[in-house]
Amino acid sequence: MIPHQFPGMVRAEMLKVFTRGSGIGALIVAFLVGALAAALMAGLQSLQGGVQINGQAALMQFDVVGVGAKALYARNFFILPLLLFLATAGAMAGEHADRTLRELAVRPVPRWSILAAKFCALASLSLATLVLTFVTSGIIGWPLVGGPGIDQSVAEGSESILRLAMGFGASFVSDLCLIALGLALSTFVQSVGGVVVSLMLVLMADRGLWMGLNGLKLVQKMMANGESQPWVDEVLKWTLVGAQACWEGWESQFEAGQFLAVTVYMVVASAVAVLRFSRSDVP
Amino acid sequence: MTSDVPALAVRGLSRFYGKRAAIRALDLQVNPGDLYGFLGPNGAGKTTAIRAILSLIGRSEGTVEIFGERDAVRRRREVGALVETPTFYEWLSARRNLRIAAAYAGRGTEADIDEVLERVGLRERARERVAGFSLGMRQRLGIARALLGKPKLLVLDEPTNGLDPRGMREVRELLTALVKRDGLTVFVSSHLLSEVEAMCNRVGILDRGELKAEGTMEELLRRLGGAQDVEVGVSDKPAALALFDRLGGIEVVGDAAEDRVLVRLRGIGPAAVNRALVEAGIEVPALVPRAGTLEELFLSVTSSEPGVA
Repeated sequence: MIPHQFPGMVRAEMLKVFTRGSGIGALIVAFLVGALAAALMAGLQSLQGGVQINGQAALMQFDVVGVGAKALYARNFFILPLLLFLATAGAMAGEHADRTLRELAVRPVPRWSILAAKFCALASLSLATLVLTFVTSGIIGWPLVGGPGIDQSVAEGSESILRLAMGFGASFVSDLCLIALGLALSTFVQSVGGVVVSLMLVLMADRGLWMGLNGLKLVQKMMANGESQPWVDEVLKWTLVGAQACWEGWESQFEAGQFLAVTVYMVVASAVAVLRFSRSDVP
Repeated sequence: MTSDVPALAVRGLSRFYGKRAAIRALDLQVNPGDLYGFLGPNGAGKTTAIRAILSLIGRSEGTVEIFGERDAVRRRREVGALVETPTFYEWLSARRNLRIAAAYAGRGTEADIDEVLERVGLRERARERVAGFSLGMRQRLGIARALLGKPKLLVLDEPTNGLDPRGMREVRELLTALVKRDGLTVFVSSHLLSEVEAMCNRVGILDRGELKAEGTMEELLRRLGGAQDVEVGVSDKPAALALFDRLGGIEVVGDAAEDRVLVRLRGIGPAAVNRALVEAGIEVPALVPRAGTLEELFLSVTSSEPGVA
């Protein structure tokens, strides 16, 4: 049974998430990523504006989709996932460490609903950063480099705003997985720093597996005339790095296997978080 | 306020950490309208017991019922709680902290927030960040948060910690008013005997995780054979001393004045002493119970060795 106060709990969690340093930082970075992508692309375009070879533009042409694409890659590269993860760790492990979690746990709500409220609030932060980057890159980029047209910096056929928006949407799924993972780790390690270190260790192990599989793929290709065994690609999708990269398909084709993997990670991490938190002592 | 259903009924509650018992087979009952003092030395297990009652920690054994409700979520509906030093979202204002608490409680309007802030004297500071609050202000804000949503039972763990004497008195008066005026039931833990003695009608004494005594002050003294010091004014002191010797259960502690004797009664009440004196033809111009017996009782039932955390 969902408690009747659940919408209020989500609003309360949003108040905390959006006013914490990590939340404010994520919003600022999301804005800057969109604005800087637009400014840099416009600057690059103006630098090459006068150069022509055989009567044609010498270098690449950009449009607003290209600006958005660069903003999306920059957004998903490192800082924003880290800030989102810090916000997650702060919402759970941080509250555990500074004892504010106790004040929520004495209220007449089941433990899982506390986690769910935090998950929803963190999801709204992720959504806000994505919308902010998308809108900022569009609003600033459109007048600077022009509306949708031909952009040679993105793959052919992916120059539409809708396709780019799908890339941002897929990033939201990737973020949800990261949030669930952060909540699950927060039930094992009760400090923000500890959770971040744990995530780093998990990612390093996962990256090691990913690199190993790619190495194996390379060896197989060398030994079999450019062919690798299909199971290697399948397993690669199920590494955390591979699953988290589900958004990258916006430029070519989305991989259902990556979305399935990221969903499985999210569900398993959420289940672990709920089970652990429901049975743990709150100091 | 009367009801057949206890406000809080704890039966056989134990919590073990490995083989070590933080609380063992705890039985206690708080009736509606009680201002129940949960006494114990530092490390006796008071906070562990409160955390188990509020389901913050699991129970190894036993049951907890609040107004007859056993379900962990439902029984917290009627409870406002303050556990140890209250904690807050430091970067938010007092009012926003209370809004978060009200959202989780599922009740508590802006008017309710104003009311509880007024009650603890923080209405004027409601917009300020909690980070700038003193320990005493935090304690009062914690009480305000516990009062949000008009709970029927208040569970307060050392609510006067960090308060100056005036603040302590204000909290005592507030709790007394909540019980007498608003009909609340209050379960308050403390290691301060004077505090409990001044406001509580019922007392439970915990030591090393076990409840050593529970009841009203009179009941406790009687049940435990605890001593009660009484100053007795008599017209014939030698005859009175001889009578005390014959009656038994009366220990002469000292002379309070020329015509007065200070006696310690065990298993015999002041009324019986008065009757015996009068029947022996000795006038009794004064019979004054001496304060401080809770301290003696406390010391007699609690161990001097360090307790569990």
